[in-house]
Amino acid sequence: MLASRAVRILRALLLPIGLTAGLAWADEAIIGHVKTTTGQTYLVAAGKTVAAQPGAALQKGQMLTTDHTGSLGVTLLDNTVLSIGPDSELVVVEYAYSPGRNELKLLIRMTKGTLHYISGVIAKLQPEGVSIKTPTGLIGVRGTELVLRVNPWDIQ
Amino acid sequence: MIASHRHRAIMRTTQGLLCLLCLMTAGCTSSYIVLLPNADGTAGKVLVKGLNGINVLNSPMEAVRVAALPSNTYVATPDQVQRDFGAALRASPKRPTHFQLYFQPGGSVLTPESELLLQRVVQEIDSREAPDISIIGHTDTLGDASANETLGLERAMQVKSLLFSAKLTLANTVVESHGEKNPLVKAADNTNEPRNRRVEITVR
Repeated sequence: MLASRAVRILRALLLPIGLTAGLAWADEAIIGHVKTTTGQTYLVAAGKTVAAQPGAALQKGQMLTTDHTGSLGVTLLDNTVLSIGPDSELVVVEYAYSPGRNELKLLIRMTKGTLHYISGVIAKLQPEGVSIKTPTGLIGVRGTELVLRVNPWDIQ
Repeated sequence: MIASHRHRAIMRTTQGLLCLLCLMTAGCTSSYIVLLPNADGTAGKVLVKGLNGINVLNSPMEAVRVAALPSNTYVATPDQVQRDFGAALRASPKRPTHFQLYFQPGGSVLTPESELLLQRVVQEIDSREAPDISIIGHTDTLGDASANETLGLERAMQVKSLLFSAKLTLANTVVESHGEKNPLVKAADNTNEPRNRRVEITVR
């Protein structure tokens, strides 16, 4: 925890002079892969935006975004399946998948748009471990399939 | 009490005005969530916590607004779900597929039945546009744990070497061993258990 914070601070300091490449491994393990895309879709992290392509690796903290024509589907390592429709923004904020060490957690932040969510192993082994944060609420997911629409203009 | 009532009244008015504003702009819907039925027709459970309350959804197609103020749940129609979530639903990736391959005791030789299954695994990998694969080796509890850790890895590597697919690459394939620590069937130490001598493959 402390170490990862130190790395984050270090990275923030180094960011302006572009020396962060060597630190990229620090807390950015691969947590899943992009599987489907239509229209314009992007992965955004630390101010860097890349077009999302099927097969691209997804890391914790990267924002998935779509434009008004876009849609995007990802499968996480624990077999959680997520897909978003047009004009959507989603970040996997926390992800822990180590059944052997009983470390199981998935926290998604959805700031706008539409989401289709299908539970994976994390929800099965740790039903209280999966939640979705929106501007107006916190959704505790107890192993299931759901759709969620987030209107960013709703009052908080 | 009165203050909180007044606060609620103000919030309701603000929300009302905002809704009106929304109606005037095109196609604006409040935040809401729908619990979909599982493949077997049952449904899981969802807790929706707003600033001032909590709602529980536990039946198929049950829906509720995600808002600061609590509101009643209702049953969403398939038409509404298609209209609002059609694009997200269509973008949903193919669900992961699992395979279990079994081994003869003590080494990394597949049982004849499991050897026949390899072709099906390759077909599954090749059928996907951008697959990623995990190959995890397991052992029974015969012998000591560290030797089984190694044996599990040998089994996983052996299976990988038998999967002839151009879509299988270093970048999209994870090969691991759980040794004797993640048995399919619980067994005492030093138990010959064929169901635990396995490699589990997940094709995503």
